[in-house]
Order: sequence, then C-alpha cells, then structure tokens
Amino acid sequence: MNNTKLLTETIPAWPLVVAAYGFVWLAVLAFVAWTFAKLHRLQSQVRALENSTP
Amino acid sequence: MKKFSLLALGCGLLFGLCTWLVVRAPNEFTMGLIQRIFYIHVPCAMLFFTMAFVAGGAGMVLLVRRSMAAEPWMKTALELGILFGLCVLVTGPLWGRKAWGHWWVWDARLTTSLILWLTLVMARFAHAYGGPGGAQLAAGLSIFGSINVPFVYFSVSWWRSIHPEPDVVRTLDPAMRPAFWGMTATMALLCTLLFVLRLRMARLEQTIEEHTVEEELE
Repeated sequence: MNNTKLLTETIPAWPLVVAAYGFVWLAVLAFVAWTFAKLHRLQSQVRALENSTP
Repeated sequence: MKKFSLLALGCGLLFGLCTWLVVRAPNEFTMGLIQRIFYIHVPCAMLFFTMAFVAGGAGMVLLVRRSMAAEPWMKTALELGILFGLCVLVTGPLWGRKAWGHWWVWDARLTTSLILWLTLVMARFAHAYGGPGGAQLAAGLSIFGSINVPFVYFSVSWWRSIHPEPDVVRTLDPAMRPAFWGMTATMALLCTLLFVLRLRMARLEQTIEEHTVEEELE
C-alpha cells in the first residue's frame, strides 16, 4: 500500500484580497492625513512670517 | 479649496463605484478570487512609473537649466512615486503568496521594481537631508530612477520571469474591463488631486525657506 500523501497547502484568497485593498486605502488615507497636517503647519508658518514682516 | 473638496468627494464616490465593479467582476478562470488584486495592483504600478518619469523629468530640468522651479515638481513626484510604489510592493506579494506559493522571489520584475522604489526613497531622503547640494543629488537619483522604468516594464520580456507579461491588460476579458479601467481612472484622479495639492504646498515651502534665508542674511 502506498502511504505517500500529497501534501497540499490551501490558502484562502479572500483575506489576501481584503489585505491588499485595505493596505492601499490605508496608505492613501495616511498620505492625505500627513499632507493636511503639513498644510496646517505651513499655514501657521505663513501667519508667523506675516506677523514678523513690518 | 471648495473646488478641491468637490473633486475629493467625486473621487470618494468613484471609489465606491469601483469597489462595486470589482465585486461584480467575474472570477478569473485559473486564479479565481485572488486575481481581483490585479485591479488595484496594476493602476498603482502605472502611477508608480508615471511619477518616476515626472521626477526624472523635473530632475533633468533642475540639473540642465538650473531652474529651482522644477524642485517642487520633483519633490511631489518622488513622494507620490514612493506611495504608489509601496502599494505595488505590498499588493504584489499578497497576490504572489496565493498564485506562486511565495511572498517574494528574486525575479527580474520584482527586483527591478524594488530597486526603482529604493531609488525614489533615496532621492527623497537626499533632498530632505542632503544639505545645500541635496536637490542636485536628488535630481541625479530621480533621473537614474526614470531610466530604470523601461527596464522594470520590459524585464518580464527580456529575462525569464514568473510575473505575467505586460500584454495582460490588452487581452483582458471584456467583462473585467469596467472594473480595471474604472479603478485606473479613479486612482489617476486621486493621484492628480494629491499632486496638485502637494505641489502647491511644496511651492509654499520653497517661498517660506527663501524668506527665512533672506531674513537670516539681513
């Protein structure tokens, strides 16, 4: 009797698909949040410059 | 700003529509569900290459014409290139794990893509922390990155590779096209919006920097 068993690995696809889409949306959101934080800092720098200019 | 908010809202609605199109798209015959990563992986790759080209072009203008007006363009393109490149380098291995059984293989396409992404990262760091000559160093690296783009694109044809050929978009099933082109258009719109916003900010940063230097000299 042949006891050799075929070892197969079954990976479900849906967690990988969800992870891929989730990562892209999160990366884009993080970039947008970082951009707006930077914009806020720039606006305060501009205000400080305007106040310092006679 | 109101116009920008409206465009951002439109972009959000398009994302919703595209997600629905991706869910509705038929399963690919051999790969099944995992093939749906293609609808986000390929548009991100297109933008990754485009941003690398824009950064290289701006770098060329900066070095040849010595025009500092190109600096914000290069900086913006580098940042967006890094963002979309990271998305390509993360979504690709997620697909590869199921399709090839490996997260990563040192295949020509994957290796050249990683080199391109690292070049953009190096250029951005050189620009931020490179001191007075940082912009020129970043420009040189950006030009090197843009030269690398054709090698990344044609690597699957020039060398033996397990990555699908570039003609996969041309031969796509007609039922899958709305999801693919819808996602591509949405990502391109998002990239354009972010580019315009970030470019304006980079120009403002440059003006503030010039003012600060002038004040320090006075």
